[in-house]
Amino acid sequence: MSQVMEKVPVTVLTGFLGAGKTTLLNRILSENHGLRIAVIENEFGEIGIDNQIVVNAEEEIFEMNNGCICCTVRGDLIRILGQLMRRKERFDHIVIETTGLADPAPVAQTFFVDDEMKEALRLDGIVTLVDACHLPQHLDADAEALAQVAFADVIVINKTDLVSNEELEALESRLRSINAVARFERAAHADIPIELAIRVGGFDLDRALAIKPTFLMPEWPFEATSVYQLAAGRYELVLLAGPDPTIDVLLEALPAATEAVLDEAEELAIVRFTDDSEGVIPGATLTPRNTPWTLDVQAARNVYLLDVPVAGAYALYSQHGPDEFSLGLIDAAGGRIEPIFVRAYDPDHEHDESVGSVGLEIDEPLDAKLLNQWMGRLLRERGVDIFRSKGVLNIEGQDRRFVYQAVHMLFEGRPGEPWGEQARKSQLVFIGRNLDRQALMEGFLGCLA
Amino acid sequence: MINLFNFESTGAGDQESRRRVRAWAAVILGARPEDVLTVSELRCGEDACADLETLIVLTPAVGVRRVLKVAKGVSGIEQADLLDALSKATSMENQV
Repeated sequence: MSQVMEKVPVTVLTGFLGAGKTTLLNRILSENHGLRIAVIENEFGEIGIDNQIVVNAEEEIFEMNNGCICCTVRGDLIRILGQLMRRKERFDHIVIETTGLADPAPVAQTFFVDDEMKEALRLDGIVTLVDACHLPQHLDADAEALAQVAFADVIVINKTDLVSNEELEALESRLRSINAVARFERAAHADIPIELAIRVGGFDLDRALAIKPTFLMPEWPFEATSVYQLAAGRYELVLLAGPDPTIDVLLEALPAATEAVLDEAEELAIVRFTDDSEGVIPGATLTPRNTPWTLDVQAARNVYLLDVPVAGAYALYSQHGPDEFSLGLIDAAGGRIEPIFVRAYDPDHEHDESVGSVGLEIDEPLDAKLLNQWMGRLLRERGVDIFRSKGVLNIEGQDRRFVYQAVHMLFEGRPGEPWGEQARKSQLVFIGRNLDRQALMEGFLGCLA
Repeated sequence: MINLFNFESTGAGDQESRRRVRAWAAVILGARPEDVLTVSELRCGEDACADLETLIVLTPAVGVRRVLKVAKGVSGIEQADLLDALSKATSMENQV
């Protein structure tokens, strides 16, 4: 029986000067994690630390072909990786540290240009460390900082002890608007578990799209969720006339009336909320269920009956904010029931970054030929601006998913797992500069079979 | 148009062709054991690039990198193509 050598995973560590890369690298080199790791970095000479190896690299950009961005690789890495691959001893992992101003694209592309390289090494992911205190200034001033965030599979927000919770939330929200599919970690002194930092799986095609529906939706379909704790029985849902003649609502049971439970539930609620709704007029009886209602609210006061079969937590997702219609829930004794909490949603995900993420999803099968033409043209014409893209595609006549990843114009794709009993749908994600959601969606829809 | 969505593809490419081209290139370019030879089939599609071309790059442990460029996919490359590419590359290098 032939033995297949397992590919050595490679993690690329990016981040501006002072973000904490060296601190994290020192931990990777010194902690007792049992892995034999080779680190390629910029500052040390070639020295051995315990069982590890550190190799010095001097950034050497190599344009293989006519200065084309997709053919630009890191010459220094080709040389060093070639030497590492020839060594007799095996490594469990390779970590590449880049300089603060490095463009991640040539580093990533280095792993796709040669078959022998691809047979021996596997780009596992790009980890970007950011300094919670100073990144906002870098994002405003440096294209490289934006690119490092956009390329990342994992973003570690470091030095969290130097900023307030509000500043931290604002920074993470801004970073998510740039890169909606990265995994976020927080640390005070680059002290995240080593496994989380180097086992990333960002370029694993089988995991290409662990995407939340919240990101794939162009906008939230509801503006608020009111979470109630209700006893079984009959209630009145009262709405006064508001800015629109109707309002869509979805009432669902929750396992518990907590923020964390709602985090999980709203992903599915988004999908359900966009299903066809049932139109009703005042006096109708509503019950918790998986499809939305469209309530007529043209009268000055509109009363609907709400039957709750089982005591428990319930989420009332509403197309508009409850204040706009003075929405209230009244129990049988005439008392007003206050929600445990109300969550409001930004209706259109507005942000002003030139670099951002666009997620697209359609259920209908795609024509492989049309898709090939569109994607080929898109990556050829817009590949410079599309830093990364990934997708899971439902191709007509195929029992298996097609999964792909691209870095700029370099494209890697193959058939994935069979669909089996799962609902077939195609999901695409683009992260890049000046992306036009409407144009991308129109192009995508043009590929329907 | 390159077929990006090829359900028949294993993603491995024509490995035998690559091994053959790599072996020829190693001899033609005089690669030493410590040098790194990469064979890349490019389909970048930019105006200045051919639809499909192969770049063979010898990166020596020390010294100047050498590049052979053939306007064909790897599977279509013959030894004569590499000799021709070497002749062009040498001619370019002499002009510099």
